[in-house]
Amino acid sequence: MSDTVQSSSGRVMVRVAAMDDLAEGRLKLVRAAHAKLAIVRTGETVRAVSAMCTHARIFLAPGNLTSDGLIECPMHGAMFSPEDGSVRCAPATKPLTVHEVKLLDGEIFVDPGEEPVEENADTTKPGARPSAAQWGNWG
Amino acid sequence: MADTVDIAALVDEEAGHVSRRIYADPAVYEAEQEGLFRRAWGFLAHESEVPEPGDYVERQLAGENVLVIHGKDGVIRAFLNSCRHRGMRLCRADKGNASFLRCPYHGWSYSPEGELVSVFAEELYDAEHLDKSELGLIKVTQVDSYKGFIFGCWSEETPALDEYLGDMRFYLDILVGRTPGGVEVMGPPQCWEVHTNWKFATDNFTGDNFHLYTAHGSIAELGLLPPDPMALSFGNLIQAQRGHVLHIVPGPPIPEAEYFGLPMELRPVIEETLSEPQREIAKGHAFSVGTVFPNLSFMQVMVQGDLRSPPTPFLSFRIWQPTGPTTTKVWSWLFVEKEASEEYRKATYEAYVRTFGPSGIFEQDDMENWEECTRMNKGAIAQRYNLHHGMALQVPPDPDFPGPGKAWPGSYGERTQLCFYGEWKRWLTQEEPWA
Repeated sequence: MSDTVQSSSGRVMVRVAAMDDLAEGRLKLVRAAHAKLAIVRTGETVRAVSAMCTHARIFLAPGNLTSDGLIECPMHGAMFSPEDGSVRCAPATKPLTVHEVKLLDGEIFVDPGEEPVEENADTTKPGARPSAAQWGNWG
Repeated sequence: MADTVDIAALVDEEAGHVSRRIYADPAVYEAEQEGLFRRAWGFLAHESEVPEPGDYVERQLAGENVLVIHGKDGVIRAFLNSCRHRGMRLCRADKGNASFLRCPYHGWSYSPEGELVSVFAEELYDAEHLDKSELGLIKVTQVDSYKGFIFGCWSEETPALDEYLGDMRFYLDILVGRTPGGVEVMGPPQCWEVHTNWKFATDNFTGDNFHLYTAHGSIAELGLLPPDPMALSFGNLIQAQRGHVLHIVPGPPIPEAEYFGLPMELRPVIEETLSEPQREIAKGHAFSVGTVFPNLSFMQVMVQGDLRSPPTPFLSFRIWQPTGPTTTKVWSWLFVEKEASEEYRKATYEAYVRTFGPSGIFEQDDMENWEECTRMNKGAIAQRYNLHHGMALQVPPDPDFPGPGKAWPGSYGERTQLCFYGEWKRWLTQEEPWA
């Protein structure tokens, strides 16, 4: 089987796992091209959201969802809905990004989305400097 | 050095592992006192603390009380603060001015230059049993100063201070030699005890920016740290020479955050005083934290002491003086340029006391962590498992960095910690660790 398929809008979707790899009510971290994603299976549906917590830039942890079926960040306890990425509990304020999923013969394909043009993402590059946005209203 | 513990096995720089025993084991502590603290140069005082003849301060060097005193001949000396008669603690004040030092027990008296000048009931001794010229105060073996920072060393084999500091002087100059007048101490140092092993403090002050958003999470939540937790991850981790390390971290891209946020009126003279590569480093950075091996640390940082105050810089030096395997006495000094205005002195003092020192909002978070780290690492079971120092070790040094030593880009990483622990291991295991 091919590792990629086309989405309905013609985007390249990347195979990330098989349905059999996913247990109900558990979060799995996968890589799709440049993107690190969190995928969650509910019955015969699979949802994919961005895997980095929008609060403190820590990757969400694989494992059980909360008893309410939410994703809980291990660092500060922010909670997100796996359905639409929305914030359900502080301290996060911005939602996770939802990625399109396609199921084909028991295999899961996900749209990795555009590669983010993140200014100065690599802080270990010689001469890299922080952007004004990273400092917000500090001071 | 120690018979009972294999020191060399306790630090693995390649793997990035450090044994928990180094923070709690009494045998390691003893090996450390002998191999490190009785041989390395230790910071004692700044010349501005003893400006006049007769001025003295009491400090510690390798855990022993030392008197730093300005002689009538203008020379600043350092002596063991112990009378030659019964060993009494000669001078019992932290600081003061004395024309003579009189022992509180039987009254033997010494000049500020350390000579025994009078002995009670001197006529009852004969010449054979009292030679005052042989009974002066015990001198610290080597005493020298760099830019007003007075250091002492108990070993005559240890290289001279200039050689010991080596390339760290390039970076120290950016902090303490950036104006013609240099820096001076503001007020007496703060001094307090912490139930931690001294190396947790040093570990943090080799340049640990990656604890900020966790240990100081409440401060981040108030908005006193930038909103993006990666904002403070830029800059460089630097090994100036051997165990002398620091980080330099840029602030937001605004002129106010250049030159460590120092007052605009001082900047022309700073630009004039520093060399070109030093100027480049100073201009591009707002924060620097580091350690002169083994236990003199510094912080040049911009902080907000509260929600209404603008970020204000301060420069503090501190020593982490071990007083036992799991206890440390901290001395923390605030420094300011001699040329600084009264207005800036007030602002930098306020910024410092609100955030650091025993009541500072940052320092309290740190001490809580260091104390609990120390307590946990005492456990015999805990000691079976090493601690982890593996962040960003794959990053190569920047060959084009303008300063001496090695500089690894990015300030989130554990390179400088490992440089410190590697050097610590050499002093505890080698006859001539400086070779």
